[in-house]
Amino acid sequence: MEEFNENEKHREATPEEIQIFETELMPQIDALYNFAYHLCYNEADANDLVQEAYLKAFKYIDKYKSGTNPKAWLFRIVKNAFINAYRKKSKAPKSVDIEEFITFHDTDEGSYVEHVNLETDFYHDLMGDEVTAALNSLKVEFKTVILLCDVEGFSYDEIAEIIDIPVGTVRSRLFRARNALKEKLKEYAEQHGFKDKRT
Amino acid sequence: MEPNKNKFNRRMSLFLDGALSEDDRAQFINEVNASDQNKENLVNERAFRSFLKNKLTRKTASQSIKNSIRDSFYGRQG
Repeated sequence: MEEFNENEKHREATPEEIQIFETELMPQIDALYNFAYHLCYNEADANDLVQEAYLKAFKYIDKYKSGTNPKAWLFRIVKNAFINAYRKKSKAPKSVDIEEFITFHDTDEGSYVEHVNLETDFYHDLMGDEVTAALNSLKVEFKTVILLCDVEGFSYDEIAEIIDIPVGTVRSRLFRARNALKEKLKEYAEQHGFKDKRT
Repeated sequence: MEPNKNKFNRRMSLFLDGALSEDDRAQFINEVNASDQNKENLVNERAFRSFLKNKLTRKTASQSIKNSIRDSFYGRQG
């Protein structure tokens, strides 16, 4: 994690920057932590990611324009920190690049993808931990778009900006990600003895 | 699944995400109202979205992390 160097000279934050920190950046911390937690599925790593994101945000706070979109800005920093942390951890030279996973352009908008239509009573008894585990079992690029759209409520344009992919890719990836999650939930529900009446 | 159904499901996704234009939205609503199967699919998809948002374990940052971040920010100024 990037640390502040005590010998490095830091200028004092201006009153405007203090205002930005308190009223725009800090209010995002719980959403940011939740995103980091689900990316890492580990509290210690999530703490590191969030701290690193805020340190970076302080560093560039003079570049931030008040009132723009602090949440999207911080989420983008966390996504980049997650990719960097993953790179540091995976020292194997031929390991798959996580950045490729998150940012590759799976432009399959026109292609056929099976839509999974789950009836509500099929999964409504699942517990929060089981839903979390199902989400966590998805590929990271799927998990990321679901968290950003369905949990945090970002628009397609904001998601495209946060993860550096075209809006068309956001659309198609979300469609595929939700179907993959439904399949996982179906598996969990079946493990709990629920049978899909349609099959 | 036939192509029309696939197209409907993709548009349903866009509809629920608020990503259809006004005209496409009106057209989609007409399409939903024209078929009981479409209505049922929309109800199921809406329920799934709501389930996901409500059931997913939501984690919050600990007070110690919040304090540590505040200390880092204000500590820089000392």
